[in-house]
Amino acid sequence: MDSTHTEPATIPSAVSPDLSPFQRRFRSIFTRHALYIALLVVLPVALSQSINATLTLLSDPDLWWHLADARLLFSAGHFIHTEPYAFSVAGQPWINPEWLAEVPFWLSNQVFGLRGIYLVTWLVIAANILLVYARGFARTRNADAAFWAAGLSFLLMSVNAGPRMIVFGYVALSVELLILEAADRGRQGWLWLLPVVFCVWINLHGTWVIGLALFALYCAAGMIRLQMGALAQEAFTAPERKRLLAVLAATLAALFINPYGWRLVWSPIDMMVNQKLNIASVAEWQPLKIGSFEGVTLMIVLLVMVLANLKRGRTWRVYDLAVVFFAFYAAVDHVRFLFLAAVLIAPTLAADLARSFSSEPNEKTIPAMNALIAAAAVCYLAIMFPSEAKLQKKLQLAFPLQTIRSIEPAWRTFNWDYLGGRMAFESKPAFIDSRLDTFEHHGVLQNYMAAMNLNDSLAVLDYYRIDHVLVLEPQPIAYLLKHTSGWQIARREQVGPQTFVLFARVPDAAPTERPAPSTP
Amino acid sequence: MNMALLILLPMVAAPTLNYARTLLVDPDIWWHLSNARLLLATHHAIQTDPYAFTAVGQRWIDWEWLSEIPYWYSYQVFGLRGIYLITWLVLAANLIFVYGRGYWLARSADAALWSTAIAFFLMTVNSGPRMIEFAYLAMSAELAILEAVDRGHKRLLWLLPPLFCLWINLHGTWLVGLGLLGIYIACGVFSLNLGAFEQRAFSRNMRVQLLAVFLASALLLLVNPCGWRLVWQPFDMMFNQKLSVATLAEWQPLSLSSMEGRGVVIAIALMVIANCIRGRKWKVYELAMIFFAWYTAINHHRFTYLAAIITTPMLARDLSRTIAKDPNTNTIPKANLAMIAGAVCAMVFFFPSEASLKKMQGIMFPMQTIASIEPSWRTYNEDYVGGMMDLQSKPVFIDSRFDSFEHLGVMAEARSILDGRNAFALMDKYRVDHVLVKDDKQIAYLLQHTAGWRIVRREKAWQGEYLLFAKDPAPAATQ
Repeated sequence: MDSTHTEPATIPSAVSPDLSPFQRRFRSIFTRHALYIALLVVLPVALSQSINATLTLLSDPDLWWHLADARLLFSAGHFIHTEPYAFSVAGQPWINPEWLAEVPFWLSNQVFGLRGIYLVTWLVIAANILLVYARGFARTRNADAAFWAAGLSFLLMSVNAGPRMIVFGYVALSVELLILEAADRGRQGWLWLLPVVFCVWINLHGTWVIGLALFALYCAAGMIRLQMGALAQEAFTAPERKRLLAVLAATLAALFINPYGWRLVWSPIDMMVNQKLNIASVAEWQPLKIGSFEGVTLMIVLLVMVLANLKRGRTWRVYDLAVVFFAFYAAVDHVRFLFLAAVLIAPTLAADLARSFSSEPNEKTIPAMNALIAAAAVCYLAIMFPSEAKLQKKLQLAFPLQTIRSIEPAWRTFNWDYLGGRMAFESKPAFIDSRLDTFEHHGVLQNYMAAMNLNDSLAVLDYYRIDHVLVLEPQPIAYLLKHTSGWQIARREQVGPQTFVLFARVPDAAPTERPAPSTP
Repeated sequence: MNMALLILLPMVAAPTLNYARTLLVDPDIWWHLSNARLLLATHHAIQTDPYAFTAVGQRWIDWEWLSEIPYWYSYQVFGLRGIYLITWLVLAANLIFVYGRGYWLARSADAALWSTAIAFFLMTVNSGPRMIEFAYLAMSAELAILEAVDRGHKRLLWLLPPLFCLWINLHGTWLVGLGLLGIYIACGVFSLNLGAFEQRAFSRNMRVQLLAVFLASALLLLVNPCGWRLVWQPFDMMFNQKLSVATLAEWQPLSLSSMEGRGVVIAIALMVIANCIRGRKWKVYELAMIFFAWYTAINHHRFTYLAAIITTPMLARDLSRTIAKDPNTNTIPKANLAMIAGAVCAMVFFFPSEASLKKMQGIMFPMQTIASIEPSWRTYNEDYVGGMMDLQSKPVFIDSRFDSFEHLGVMAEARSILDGRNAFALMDKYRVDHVLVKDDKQIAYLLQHTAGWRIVRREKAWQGEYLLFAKDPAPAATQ
């Protein structure tokens, strides 16, 4: 049905008949693809904030409660149904929406220690880059264009290129789009893989809802035929429509194959409807700063696409145009969706590049040079792979480990949310961590923010019978407690440039009778 | 009829002008009025800080002095209604200007109307009593001149130097205007015929004329009461005022969920779809300007207005080519007359009374508390109320003229105090003896729980109340 895609070009054999079997084999392995795949796999290790020199790998606050979740899953042998870590929401129902994505991190961590986290992070990001490369190539049959599109996409992906469960979600999204793109090229049977993909996806991450919306958009856009200027869309045939609707229905049914049933299906919708404070306050949900590195990259991608289409226009399907528009909209509105935009637009970008800028044939390459660069890439990976000691050192620069370890099980410690995950991992009772969903549902997030922002702080501390407070020294609540009788500094820990302070209530100063905090 | 509707539009749909709900929310207008009062009273341009005890004697120039004068005169004659009047007139003038440019480019009144209506939603970001709106008039005039030049009226180019001479005294956006002129000239240096690009290079004579106009415009920028300092001012904003840009709401990236954000999305989507349905040839400068407009609007919320000024005529042309094809002559004069009469009646109806504006002012600012401040006090105040304190001739810690305060480090310290970080040490540094803040601010909570400070006055305001704290004569020693 797609008249816009470039027809696969017939690739003349790069292998000359007078070559020896070894030479033929060598040439068939070290093609331009081998070169580009090696370079793309190295890319995160060389350029990603989290992986290159592990600058931010272990400072991710979510990682630690994800590991604690997986530990609990394996040790208890059943899925989490009630709050396992925070005393402020003890006993409340909570489901673990990303349990399947946590498992590889946990198993790898068990086997390789912190290096296991590094390994999984790198592999999943590399898988994402390779998938967009493959989709770009499948669309354009032009390795150069696919490579440059994947390279630019990686720069957009860097916004979430850490040990994040969402990165598994994007692998699933790429697989979904790969299937739809293959269906466009005539492989309609592949569509039946979609229910399986969604069945896995819902257990990985809530981004399945975006994937489902895109699939629905794909189905809906193909219901109409349109020929208007550069807009050209063929309608599906009746059998195609039936198959698509059947696949859609099977996909919806497959979503319920998960340990939490409808609750897991509801989870991303709950995020949109009931977690306004979470979205309003978390940095990665904020609008994109165009002046940032990722913002400039997005603008470059946009500019390249516009120029390519002005230089040599093409016809657009409504679905393609809607997806590109949605991708840019989502990325500009929420910085975290730059990764999503990369996954969505990479093949279109590759097609634009192939049409307007790139004319080098794939077979014009030097296999020996490719082999050399691939070998260099492997060496680089081996050299850059960090030691366990180095990662331990990085971890010590991210969290006040000594202070966290000194926390007694009986204490009720009000903590900075950034530390909560690590406290959960160390089996210390936390007030809050970065699983903000449950805390927002029970009003704890509102109270936490009020306390941190000196709005009824002392009342909040009394309300939850807090006896210890662990925060950064420059945070306003630390300043308040320093100037409030009844609190004393029990411990200070220097972590890189930051100082953490553990306050303890003076033994004689029992919580005063204060009215409950004004927030719920 | 279209013009009558566009003049009425701000009164009905701009939150600043519709019952003046947010007209007087703006904290800057008050120190602008105060500046104009000082200028007209002393008959010389302000050269040192006139209001803040934290910046006494420090160099400060009033970079928008010319825009302040109409507001001051109008305020003198009509009171708060004078502020409303000027705000409305300038916004309406901007709308009419982009409508006119859209019509000249598209030759379709419908397309010009609809594109201007979309532009209005982008303009609401700065639809209050802001000096920048005068500057956008100047920008529209500049672009109208360039568009006229494209239509063959080359002599109009010589209007640009006097325009820039006026503009630099209105607002710092003259730099953007000069940048746009630079883009126009640079893109006309070469010919390009590639796909949808079609650009003919300027003739040699035209190039010489453009360069002469550019140089004359640059030279005339120095015709202002502060000389090179006023020329340097927007550069200073870019290079030396990182904290202002990083913290002020209107400098933040655009949220596409906001009204202006939706306007931007709709405008871009319409342009893309119109060009997909029926493409056109593009000049390089047009594409460069459109890209610049959307880039700046998405990067800084405040520049959606700028984007409206730059892109609206092009949107009108796109709409006229593909969607709005009704001929201009297909109209009913009597119905138009009735609509115009209705619009005039609505304007009279919507124009607020002085009493209602006074009430709004009282809701936004703690007028009684500000009036009670003694000249000898050293009052730490939220920057929001600083401008009103300036107008009431009360010494301030800070107001919303952030340039001066950022240079001196006062802005960072004021933020630190407000956030309750190192507050007591900083207040001691400036020998602060009173604090005027809203009750939801961290410093208010801190002072309420600190010995040596007490609340001496409370005054209800929008969403809370203002608290005036006084330091006890013999306070307990702070740490």
